[in-house]
Amino acid sequence: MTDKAPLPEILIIDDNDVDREGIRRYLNPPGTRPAFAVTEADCGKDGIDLVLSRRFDCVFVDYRLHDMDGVQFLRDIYDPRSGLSPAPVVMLTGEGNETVMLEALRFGAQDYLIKGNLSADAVNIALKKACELFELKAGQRRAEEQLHHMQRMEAVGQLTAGIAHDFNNLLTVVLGNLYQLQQRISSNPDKIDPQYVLKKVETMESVARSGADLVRRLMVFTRQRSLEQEVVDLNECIADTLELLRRPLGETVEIEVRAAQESLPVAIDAVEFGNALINMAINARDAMPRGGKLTISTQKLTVDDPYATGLAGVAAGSYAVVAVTDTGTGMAPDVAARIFEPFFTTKGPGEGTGLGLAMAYGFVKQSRGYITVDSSPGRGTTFRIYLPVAPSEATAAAQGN
Amino acid sequence: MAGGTKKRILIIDDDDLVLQIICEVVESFGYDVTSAPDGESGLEMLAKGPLPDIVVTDIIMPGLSGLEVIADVKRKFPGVRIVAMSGGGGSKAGDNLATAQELGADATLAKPVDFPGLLDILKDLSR
Ligand SMILES: Nc1ncnc2c1ncn2[C@@H]1O[C@H](COP(=O)(O)OP(=O)(O)O)[C@@H](O)[C@H]1O
Ligand SMILES: [Mg+2]
Repeated sequence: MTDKAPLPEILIIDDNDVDREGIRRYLNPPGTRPAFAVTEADCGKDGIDLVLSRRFDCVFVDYRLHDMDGVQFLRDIYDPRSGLSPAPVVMLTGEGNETVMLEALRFGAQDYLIKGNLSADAVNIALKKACELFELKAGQRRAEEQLHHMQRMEAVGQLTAGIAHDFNNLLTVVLGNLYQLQQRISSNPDKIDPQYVLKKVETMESVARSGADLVRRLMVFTRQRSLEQEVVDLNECIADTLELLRRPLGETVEIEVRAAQESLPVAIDAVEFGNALINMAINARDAMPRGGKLTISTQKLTVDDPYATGLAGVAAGSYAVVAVTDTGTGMAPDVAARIFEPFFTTKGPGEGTGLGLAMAYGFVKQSRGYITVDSSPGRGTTFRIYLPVAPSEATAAAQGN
Repeated sequence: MAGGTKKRILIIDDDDLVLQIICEVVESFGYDVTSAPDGESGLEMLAKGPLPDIVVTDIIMPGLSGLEVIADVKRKFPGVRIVAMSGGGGSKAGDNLATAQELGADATLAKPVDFPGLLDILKDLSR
């Protein structure tokens, strides 16, 4: 560190003057050149305002503040977008209070210190450890975001080829009708049949509209940031996505949809779901090089006893289940065991990235659901996604706005 | 073109609106036009005859692809001229039109179809 480098910024939040003073002295021992720039707050509210308005390299916060406790503090500064607080947090707790420490860690503190045995070493080690852990999590978060972006672009790329084809067909129809009109008008300008002109114009209009619709659907998938979770009908989501898929898959793959009659309200990010479905469908196509059948079915399933239904690990409750079945090559058990790993692919370079199912898995976890795979070589593959059915009040509210 | 000497053209495309408009326009050029909605029925029509002078075929179609149609026509009916059309896309990236040419297509046309261009090609091939 050179003399010019700014000192790391530390915030100490504690309503006890003596305790704040203690931490500060451990960080910047009197008589030495200060190693940290220390800011102090004597209540949780001021602490929160500071953390949210300025950048700190680390925050020390007492668990027991007069206006709130440590968990409340952590909750208030937590950023759900990044999945982290704005800065690493070291929680200070009284002695013999293990539950409090665990709670602090669970709600996002990186480390804790017991107030009874503070020392310069303990404080500095906790600081260093909290910063390292925080940086690790932030790095992981950035990597996830990047993965996410790559996966979305992959899905878009897969769709673009099919959509370009569709678009050129639409344009062919428009150009053909325009050509006919030009011919008519130039060969016989005095005798133009209005009915004929109207018919041509109507055809072009309807074709242009289906083009606009195609663009609209594609836009949904190129959107950078995904939507928040909202309550949607799973069957409708599938129908929307299918419109995009028919063309790229339709060349060799027959698609059958068997949707549950009842509506299936789920609280999900519909764009993420669409991406997951696209990736599974493209995988199915790739597994059926000589054509075959893709079946997408939905149903409502109530799980009372996960073990009895062979769904060990699935929490009891009501689920909307979507099953994606292909009649393709299937997978050997050693392949099936690894498919959800990021970057695991059996496809050649330029053909697979190994991200599709990893991201589908991420989506499912985020939606508090489950994904299972059933496959054996030569017998095709079925993926099932279980999504918790959203309470019906929420559906009513979502439809109301 | 004088009656009786009209050239026969078979047009194959799986998109019904595209097939319809190409048929209409080509007919208005003065050709005798027949059409098929996929490769299989196109080849059937060729086998049954009467043979067309020119086959205009799309490339990306469900079932038999246009490339397979071209290969088959070249083998069985070497006298029939071929125009390949493609709008890109499909599962394997790559230049379908270049492949069509290698397989023996006499002319290629990228979609969206340029109709005056198609007319020129047909004129050329019917000489
Ligand atoms: N429906 C399926 N049938 C057979 N194998 C599949 C299927 N879906 C996925 N796989 C296997 O899982 C691997 C990982 O899939 P994925 O994460 O989508 O990445 P990618 O498709 O880019 O390879 C694939 O390479 C393939 O081996
Ligand atoms: Mg994939």
